[in-house]
Amino acid sequence: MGKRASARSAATVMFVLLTLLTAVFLFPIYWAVTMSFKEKADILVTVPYYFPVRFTLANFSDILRKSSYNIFAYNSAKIAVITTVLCVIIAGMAGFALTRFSFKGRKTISNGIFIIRMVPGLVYTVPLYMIYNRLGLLNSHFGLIMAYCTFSLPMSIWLFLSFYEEVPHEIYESAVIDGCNEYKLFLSIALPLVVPSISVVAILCFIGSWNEFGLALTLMFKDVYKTLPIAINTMIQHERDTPFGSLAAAGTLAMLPAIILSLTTQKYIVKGFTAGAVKG
Amino acid sequence: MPMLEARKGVKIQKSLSDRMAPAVFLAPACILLALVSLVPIFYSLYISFLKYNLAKPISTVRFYGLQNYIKMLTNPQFQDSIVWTLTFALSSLVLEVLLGMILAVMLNSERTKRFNAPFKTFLIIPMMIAPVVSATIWKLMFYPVYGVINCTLQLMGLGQINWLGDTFWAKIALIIVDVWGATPFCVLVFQAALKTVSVEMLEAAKVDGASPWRTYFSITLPTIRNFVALVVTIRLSDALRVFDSVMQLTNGAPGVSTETLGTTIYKTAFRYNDVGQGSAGAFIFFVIVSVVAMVAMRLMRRQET
Repeated sequence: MGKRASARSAATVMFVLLTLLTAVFLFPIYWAVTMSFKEKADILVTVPYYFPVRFTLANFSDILRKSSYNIFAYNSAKIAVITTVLCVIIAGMAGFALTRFSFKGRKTISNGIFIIRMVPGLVYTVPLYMIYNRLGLLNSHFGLIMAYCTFSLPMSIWLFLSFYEEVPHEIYESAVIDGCNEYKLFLSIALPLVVPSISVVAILCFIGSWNEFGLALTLMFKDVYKTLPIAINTMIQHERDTPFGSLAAAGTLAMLPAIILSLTTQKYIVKGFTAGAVKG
Repeated sequence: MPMLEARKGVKIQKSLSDRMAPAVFLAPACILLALVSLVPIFYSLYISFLKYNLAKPISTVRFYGLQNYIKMLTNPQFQDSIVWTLTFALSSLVLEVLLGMILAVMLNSERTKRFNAPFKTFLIIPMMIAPVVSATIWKLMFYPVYGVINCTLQLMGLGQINWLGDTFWAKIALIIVDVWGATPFCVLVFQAALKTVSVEMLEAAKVDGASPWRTYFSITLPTIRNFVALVVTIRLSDALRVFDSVMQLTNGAPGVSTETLGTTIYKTAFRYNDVGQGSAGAFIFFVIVSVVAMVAMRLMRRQET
């Protein structure tokens, strides 16, 4: 009897502790989202309104009107979607080849991909800036998408490797005996088997490119080409008085995919991060 | 050739198009990575041996030997940024691993099984948010007069803190932002790790009357040792690369006290247009990150045989 009571009180302690820690972790998000709907007068106060008392969309209409955030959001979405599609297709093929066939140089290629994955993004900023400058690819979304492949593609291939490895080889062999060629094998057998994994790769690619900052900062400096992170950075650098409401609104806009994906596709995110980590 | 035939004797003779398949499937990835990754890396290596300033006419570009590397390494500000970046990475790492482990153990415990699902979901969110955005949000919270943190401290009767204006507190602020964003990753991997611990062993320890602490340190921790090594290595190399949140939160201020390796190199190349020295710095940076990661991996995994 006493033991059960102590077990229950331990559960209560853990519940309280988890609630407190989670609240601390969620507070900044809560604060930014509620601030983005607050009136200016309710933001610039020394006794904060922890719970909003009035509701306004003024901050959002401000950032759309004054600094065309719809364009930045569109740029971000476009670049993230194209990078994701490109990486899923190319990495899906490469991962299949590296697990299905044994050929000379296979080890070299997978090691090379692993090493490229370790290179910090900063290493690419100077040479890409100079090469793009010569090729006229600065302020070009095509150029930025190509630059994003430097980190998205190795990560995607790496993830696909671990997913394809789970496919039993007998499935391939029996298809080959049935007269299936390698291309048909890939399209109608291998790919359908790793469909859930495609979502994992797609989510990580999308969020990686949606959130990217360093390369976009170097390669996109004309306003109409900027992505959301760069626009937010510009906003904090240039205005003398920090525009609290606008920054909160811009931040809320930029966090939206992260929040939606976390709440709806948690299973895939967990799989992606653990597979990526354990494999690496 | 005959030998190959003999070995593959059982297999069906493959058509030419099937024999080309590996090349066909790998070509896009290899060509793309060669163009956007290898070419820039080698080009940057070449630039790092040149005296090359983008603001000066192209005719001033000349071979500079190892001068860029020497200048970068002997620059006191660069040395300071190495010290600060290492301090930052180590302090963030310790906090993230500790906090991540505590949360993971609680989420994995039998006792929280009934209610832990929403916590697991919510705790993912910070990890998915762009560092620039989280730094922005925290910056609004750290604000001296209207920031919610200082206002709350005031309400609690504590003194206000000059978060971003004071060197010490600016550094603490950067560490807080990193811990906030990266702890969820540690929680995630540790949760997966804790699932690999044998339930029978834990039960046996319980029957033998071992305390939860004793069980954790004698059974759980040794079992998940390699996962911990992995998290430490990944987090350490990520924290050493810190760039986005510094640019957004402090931009190196006060003075240059919070400039990290990343921001120092970036500014050398793009604010002072010295792309030669910037490239040299980037390679020094790459070496530091790789060496620290490898040392961490070796140290942590040593006892595994």
